Amino acid sequence: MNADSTAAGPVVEVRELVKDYVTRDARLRQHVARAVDGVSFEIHAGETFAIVGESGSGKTTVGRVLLKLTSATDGTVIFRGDEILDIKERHFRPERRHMQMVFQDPLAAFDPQTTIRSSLREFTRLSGIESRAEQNEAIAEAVRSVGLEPEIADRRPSQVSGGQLQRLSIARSLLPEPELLFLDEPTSSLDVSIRGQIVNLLLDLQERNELAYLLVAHDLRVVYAMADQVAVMYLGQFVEVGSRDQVYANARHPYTRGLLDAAELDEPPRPGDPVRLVGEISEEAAKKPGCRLSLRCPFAVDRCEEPQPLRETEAGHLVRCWRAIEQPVEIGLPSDD
Amino acid sequence: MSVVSPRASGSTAPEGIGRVVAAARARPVRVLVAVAMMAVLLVALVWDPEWRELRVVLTVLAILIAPAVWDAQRREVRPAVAVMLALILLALIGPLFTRDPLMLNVGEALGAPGGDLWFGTDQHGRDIFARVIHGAQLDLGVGFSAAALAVVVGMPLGALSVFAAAHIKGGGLFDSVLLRISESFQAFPTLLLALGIVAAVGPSIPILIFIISIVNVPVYLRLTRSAVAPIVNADFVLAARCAGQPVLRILLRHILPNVKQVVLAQFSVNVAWAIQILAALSFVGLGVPVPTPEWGAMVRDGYEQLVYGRWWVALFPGLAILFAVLTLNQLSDRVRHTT
Amino acid sequence: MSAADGNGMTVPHAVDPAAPDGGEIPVLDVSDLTVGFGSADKRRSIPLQGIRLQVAAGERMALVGESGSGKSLTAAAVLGLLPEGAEVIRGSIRLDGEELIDAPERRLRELRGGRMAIMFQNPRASLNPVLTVGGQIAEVIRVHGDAGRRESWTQAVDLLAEMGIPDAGRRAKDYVHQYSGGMAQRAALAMALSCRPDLLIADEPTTGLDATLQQQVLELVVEQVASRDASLLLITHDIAVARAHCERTTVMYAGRVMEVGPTDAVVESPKNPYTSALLKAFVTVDQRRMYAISGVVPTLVGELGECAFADRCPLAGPECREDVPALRPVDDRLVACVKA
Repeated sequence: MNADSTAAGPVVEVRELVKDYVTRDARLRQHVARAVDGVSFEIHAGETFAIVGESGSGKTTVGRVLLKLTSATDGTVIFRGDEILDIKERHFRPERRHMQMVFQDPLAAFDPQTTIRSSLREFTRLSGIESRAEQNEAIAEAVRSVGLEPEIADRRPSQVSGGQLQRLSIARSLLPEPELLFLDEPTSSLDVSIRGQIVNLLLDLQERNELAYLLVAHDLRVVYAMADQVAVMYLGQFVEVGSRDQVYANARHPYTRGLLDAAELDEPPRPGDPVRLVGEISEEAAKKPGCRLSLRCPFAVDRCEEPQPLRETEAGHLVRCWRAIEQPVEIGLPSDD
Repeated sequence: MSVVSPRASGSTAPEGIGRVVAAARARPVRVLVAVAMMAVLLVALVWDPEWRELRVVLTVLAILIAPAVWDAQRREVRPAVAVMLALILLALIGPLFTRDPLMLNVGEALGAPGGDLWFGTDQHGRDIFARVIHGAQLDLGVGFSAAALAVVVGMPLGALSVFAAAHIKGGGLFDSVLLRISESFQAFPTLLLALGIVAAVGPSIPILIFIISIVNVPVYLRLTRSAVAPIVNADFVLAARCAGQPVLRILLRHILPNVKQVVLAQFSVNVAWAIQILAALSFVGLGVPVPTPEWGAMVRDGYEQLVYGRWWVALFPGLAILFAVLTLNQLSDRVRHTT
Repeated sequence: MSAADGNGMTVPHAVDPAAPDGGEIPVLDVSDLTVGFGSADKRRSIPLQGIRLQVAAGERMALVGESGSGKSLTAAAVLGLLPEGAEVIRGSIRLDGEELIDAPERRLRELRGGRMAIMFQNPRASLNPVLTVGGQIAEVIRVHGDAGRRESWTQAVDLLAEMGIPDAGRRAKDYVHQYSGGMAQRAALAMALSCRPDLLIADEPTTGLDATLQQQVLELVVEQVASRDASLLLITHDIAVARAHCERTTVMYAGRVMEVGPTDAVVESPKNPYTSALLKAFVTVDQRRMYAISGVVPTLVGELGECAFADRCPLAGPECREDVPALRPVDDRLVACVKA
């Protein structure tokens, strides 16, 4: 690992990130959809920051903007001490070795026309390995580090199982020795019995290499096993942020409580009544000034239509719901003392 | 459940012709480069009154498609490729063994097929068999050249326009402008456009090739565009960007190889189409200058003779067009249905 | 246990100790169902071997397994919709006592639209994209009843409203692509229930949906099936879903039934080591570690002569390799494990 990354500062720091998607309809009228709306967080080396939420919440977009795979509309991202959003792609390309990504569907993440080895080879070039023999050596080592035999790299993506291919995808992302790994639903295309293997592999690799993980997932069990910090995202905004235990064992926001309840999660035990959310996520709600969940929330009252800031309920635990902070008992939470 | 297929296990090195095949399969981009070279060659046509470059084009093509005949993994395409290859070889080597297609022999004019003259003679006593064989070189050569030129321009433009719209700032505008231009090109009836240009600058082989390819560029542009669109945001393209690969390399290594199937199928149909346009232009007298042997022109010559019952003058060149077009369409079909 | 009969497979009618109303004929009775792919040689794959599955009247049965366990193929066999190249080697499938194997295609078609209905993972797969949602539901009602054009439309709108689609009268005129994911699945449920089936087969009906929606849709399915006195066969990979919504559960692995019993009992005290491994992978959440089952699902070439889970099982011994463990009654359920 690079020496400068071991300094006390975070590997990556995101401030007030905004991402708009602009589309035009048949009459060329502009439609702006705000996928990410003022998101801030930081990730330290060896730490996992998880974003959970339903599809359409904008969680994957955060990761893609962070990796400069898509442009940001506003905000700053400071990676290894430098602001990166304004750097031109041409100049940023060498920096890409420090931030890599693991995809949801490993089969889609490999070019079907080439062997796995040649996909992996492209990533060795990032770390400046030019000779073919050295590249093969690096590939063999990476493939072994995820528990597979190096020969498997000579196959095509369609010729290995999903679990093996996800291991190879992880091996590939580690080849340039990154400091930050964006894990985009790394287990959701895998079978239950394989899921644990991949999670444990990622945890081992993190420990060994002091990696910072940005984990995006909707599987709350995987997040519970992996995350240090958890942010719950709804329609582009964080509605609750805190340590893993704060969010799982002391969920405040009705949305978080609804998610945990719907996931049929037994552990850890949660205080308060279960929350049943109705309806489904709708982009229209993202245009409201007030709480975006109000149409689905059983506790919504008039005051919820006022803008809701993210407020601290305890050290490091932020909630975007005035009732959760001021009237916990009324919305089925135990009182604060 | 993911089952590992048994043939996945070995990475045995192929031998002999198989190695050539493997190389051609592994480097689809090189095929593109070869096709591009062919297109460059065509420029030289302008200064060569004998159009020898057509022969070079056909030779390169024969070398390109030959490996597919031995490619056991593409059993489907093999028969069609073999027939196509035979046709090209006939066009290349055949003329060496026939009589002079231009030699006039008024005494033998309009002789019926028989004896040494397998296909009979035309109104000037020229050997129709020799003319059909020589015509193959011209028709196939022009057809392939025109299609190749159109691919070389249309395919990268189409891929680039989608890619730019997805991954480069301001690419959306480039995409729309290119699309509008290609639409305005397609709004013209092809044959009418060709007629107009030929009538203005006079018929010659290079002009014909350029005209036929120009009207085909939008076809490839749109085809490639629609084939690239679903994969331009595929995860493996994002992965290539994570690997810090420059745009051009991603296009060449990851995107184009994944659409080559569709483009190849269209290419084959397009050659057939080009042959038909050439024949049609010749038929109305705006194709190759007389007395060059060309199938369409020969059909026109023979068409007048049909009334007098001299069927052979038009039939044999007509059959040649039919056979070439059918073979190419068949090839296109097979290519499209292989995976 | 006589492991000799039926090629060492399940005794065709092993009595399920906890089956409700043992005397009545089950709505669905699958026994010793074995399906093969390809021609009958040694390398022929056998994705289903000796499947036993009973769904009693009014019962909600979950069929739980990972991908490749054969759960969807079982449903396809019941519906008479096996994919090309697959054939039933032996066994029987009875719907309300009527044998479906070798039944004429016409009869199967009648049953598919009438006494059994299916709901797919992708709701858009069961609705025609070029017809209005209401129109196609009305059509089914018309074909299966004697309702007229106007009456069937009213019934279709009522049905959609019953499924919780707001403003159903207007939404019935929309096309399925205008529906959100949750709404489309509600419409698919309306479609499936429009012919008043005795058995609803729901094949991963909520897998593509988010957790909060999944909960809403499954609760609706359960409620609607119950109010119609129909039976439900819920196919899912998520044992937590099975526990929340089904009374009884059948666990499958590698084309075999591993355990059948009341869901709560199966979840709380699994008797088959595979079931407990699967449960640990789901229910247990541990600090910075997840339970992982080592190894991979076996490829199903030929009929196995041993327990399919033996290679991955922590308890496996030589006796597990002797024969395919038969499904036998243990306490309140059926278990295919010699160690149980």
